[in-house]
Amino acid sequence: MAFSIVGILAVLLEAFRPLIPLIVAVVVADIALLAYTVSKGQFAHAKARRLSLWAGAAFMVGAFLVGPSLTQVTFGSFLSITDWVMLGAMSVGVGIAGFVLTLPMTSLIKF
Amino acid sequence: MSQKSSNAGPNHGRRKFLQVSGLGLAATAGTGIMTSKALAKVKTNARVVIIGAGAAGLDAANRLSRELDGAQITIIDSRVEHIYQPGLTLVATGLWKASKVMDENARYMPDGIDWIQARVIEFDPETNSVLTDTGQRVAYDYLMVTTGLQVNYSGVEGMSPELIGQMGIGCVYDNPNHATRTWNMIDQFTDVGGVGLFTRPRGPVKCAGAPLKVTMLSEDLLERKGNRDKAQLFYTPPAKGLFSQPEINEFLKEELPSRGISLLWDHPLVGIEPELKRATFETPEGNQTLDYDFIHVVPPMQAPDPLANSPLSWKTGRFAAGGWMEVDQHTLQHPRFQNVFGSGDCVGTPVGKTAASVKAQVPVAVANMVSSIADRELSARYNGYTSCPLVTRKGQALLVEFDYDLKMVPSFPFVNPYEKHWFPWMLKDRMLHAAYNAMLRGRV
Ligand SMILES: Cc1cc2nc3c(=O)[nH]c(=O)nc-3n(C[C@H](O)[C@H](O)[C@H](O)COP(=O)(O)OP(=O)(O)OC[C@H]3O[C@@H](n4cnc5c(N)ncnc54)[C@H](O)[C@@H]3O)c2cc1C
Repeated sequence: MAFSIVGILAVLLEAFRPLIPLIVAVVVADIALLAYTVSKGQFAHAKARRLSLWAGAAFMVGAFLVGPSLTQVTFGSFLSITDWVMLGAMSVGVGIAGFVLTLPMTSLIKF
Repeated sequence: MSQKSSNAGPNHGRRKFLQVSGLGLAATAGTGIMTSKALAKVKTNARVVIIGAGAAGLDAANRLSRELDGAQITIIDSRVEHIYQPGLTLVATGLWKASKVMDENARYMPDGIDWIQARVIEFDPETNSVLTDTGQRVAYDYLMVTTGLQVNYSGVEGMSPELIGQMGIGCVYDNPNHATRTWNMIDQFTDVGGVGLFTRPRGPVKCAGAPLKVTMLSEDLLERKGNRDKAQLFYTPPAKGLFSQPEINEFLKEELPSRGISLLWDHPLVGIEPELKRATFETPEGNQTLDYDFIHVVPPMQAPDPLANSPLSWKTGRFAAGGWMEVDQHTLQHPRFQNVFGSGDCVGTPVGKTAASVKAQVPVAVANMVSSIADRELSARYNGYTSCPLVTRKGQALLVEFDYDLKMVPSFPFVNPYEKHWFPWMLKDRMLHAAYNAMLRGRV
């Protein structure tokens, strides 16, 4: 089956549909913070980047650890390298999202 | 193969008259299952009627309403709730709550279409009309048949849906109530043990993997409860195969016996005596009876009666017995009534009867109907794509995807389809429901 960007976005939209109000609230708050920190000339300064990297890493490790339990199982169900690589890739995705989402917040901290 | 719509139906005059502007229909992908993508809407005043608002019907309604401009689109189905059927195996084995598979058709109905809440009792392609159980005759210029299939409980003597959830009888087909009652039986059986019979009828069934999944998940549950040695399990296929795809068939022929599940070849279930907990199988050596403590009954299936008894069904060949709808297996157009198209469980094609095949079929059937309206070549092709995350245990599955040639066509080339993984289980447990809902909206 071929994949299209629209198709992938449509599936993600359905997967997160119950959380949409929360996601919208977080994104709006993030954009507001982004606009504020950019206007103050303090967006993504070195300390903010470092802090967000730590936050992203924490998100990534957290996703890796809770990933199996979100599917009702433990690491005992992992049978192949593919499983570890897929969980790793998904966790990296969560980590990147964590970095991006926290960056406007950590940019508020004075450098 | 490319086929041109002849518009040979009796309403030829009206359809010729239909105002069609080919503003740029559908440049097609040419090969495989991939479909035409409408570049712009096709203007038409055609009356398009869709029968059945299940997986295929809603997908078709959303796509047609996006691809046609000015068409009068009507969908006919009395069912208000929508059931995510692929989740039923998980409900029946205690892994999901029934509420997780319940939804409403209204959430997926596109704006601007008519929904007649009735059932079609008669298809009359000679007059281009259908008759509903409320006495309404609905005329069409183009018809999309997506009625799904009918589970024939009476095909097993002594069986009726009321028995599900009593006296050790389970049946995952095909609603949450049956699945929940089946779970009550499987839960009890895996506590106390005994003889468990897991059946599979002759002929096509929807999701041929479902009877196998119920079997393997029951065995897994016995194991997880520490009661495996209390139970004897038997899987009873109607012939000498377990699955149509040869490599997966071989895999299962090793997997089931390796887990102590005995295979009783050529054992189609023909009757049960619920009070005696006894099942009768029609074997080449004559009828044989087996006593059980739990039985998973999978009744024979066929096209819904109004469709099976109509001129639209196959009249000869292997699909005639089930009354399946006759379609060209690639274009999904009816060969005799060329303004009629079909998709989903109701059609008689060599492979299909999964939501995954619906996902591949509907874009083809819709693209070809739109091409037909615009008087163009029907160039979209369905290649028989079907798929099933064959769950072997809680947390493990095979991602099986193949086509008409029974060739594996993996979507994720890095996932070996012949090996058990957590990844396809993760898809089944967390992602495929979302993919299904996106499909209902005509978006995948
Ligand atoms: C237990 C189980 C497990 C499954 N597992 C999987 C899986 O893992 N993966 C997968 O891909 N697929 C799976 N499937 C199969 C999948 O659910 C079906 O193939 C899919 O739902 C078919 O869609 P459909 O639209 O053809 O039929 P349906 O979704 O059944 O819809 C048919 C609709 O037509 C309506 N209808 C019927 N007759 C009439 C009439 N005369 N007039 C008007 N309306 C009518 C019905 O009310 C219904 O709403 C499973 C199915 C079951 C039951």
